[in-house]
Amino acid sequence: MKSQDPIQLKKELEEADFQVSFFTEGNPCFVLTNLETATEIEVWVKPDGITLDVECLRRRREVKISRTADYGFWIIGPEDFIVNKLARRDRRSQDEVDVLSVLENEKSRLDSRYLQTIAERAGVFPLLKALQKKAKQRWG
Amino acid sequence: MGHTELLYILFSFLGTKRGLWMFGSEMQLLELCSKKQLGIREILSILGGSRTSKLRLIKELERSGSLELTQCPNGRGRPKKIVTLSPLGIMMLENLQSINDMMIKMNENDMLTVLEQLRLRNKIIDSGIDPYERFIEMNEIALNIRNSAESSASI
Repeated sequence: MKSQDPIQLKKELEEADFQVSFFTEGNPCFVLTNLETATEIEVWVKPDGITLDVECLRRRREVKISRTADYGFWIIGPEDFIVNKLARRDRRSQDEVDVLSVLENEKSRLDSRYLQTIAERAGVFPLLKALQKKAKQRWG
Repeated sequence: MGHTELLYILFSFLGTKRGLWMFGSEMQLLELCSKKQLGIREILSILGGSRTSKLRLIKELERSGSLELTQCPNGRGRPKKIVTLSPLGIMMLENLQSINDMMIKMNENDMLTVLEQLRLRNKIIDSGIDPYERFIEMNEIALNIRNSAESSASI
């Protein structure tokens, strides 16, 4: 997908067999459903707390939605994901569960300096530290 | 009272166990009064729990200037007392909501959920399988079941 024009982008996605939902101007998020693989993808146009800058794009990862798919989707790196989850305006307990899972799963691979920088920029660094402390107390 | 001063008082207050209980009840009461005009009896019935402590909280918030009690004609009987949020109450509610946003939302059960998810993930990895690959595989199995169910229904 190369289009910057929202209408054109929607058309391209539909041509690629995706059902596009909640695609309205001003909505920070829309949903893509691939009926062939029964996969639902939430696409955040304006993600909370993170800036889609060169550094963020450099750390993105490509994932495929099926073994036969000849295209992939770019997802943000784990550090940006953590900050995005914590900076959500409607943050719920599930977001914090996701953060702790990523912190634990990616423990050895996380760039802690980058994480601290972007967490401070988004104003969620104290929350991140509090969560890490809670997890440490609970799990050792 | 300045914004910083108000926040300082709120944080000192939250440092106590009673403060944390009050924080939740106080926010609930202020949020309720900000939505619509209610009488004391209606508020007590919506909030539930101990009527004495809730009544005490209404009086305390009225004394501190966050809530205002106004009399409203009520047919032939005694005028009804309506509880409304004062400008100070609106400011207090905004501050309480922003403090609430800062707080950790997860509880002990959520912590256990994370632990269980990690245990399962590590179990898959220890078997030499990539968890994402396994997810795609499971999705394919579910799809095949759905497709075969649909084709047998159409026969």
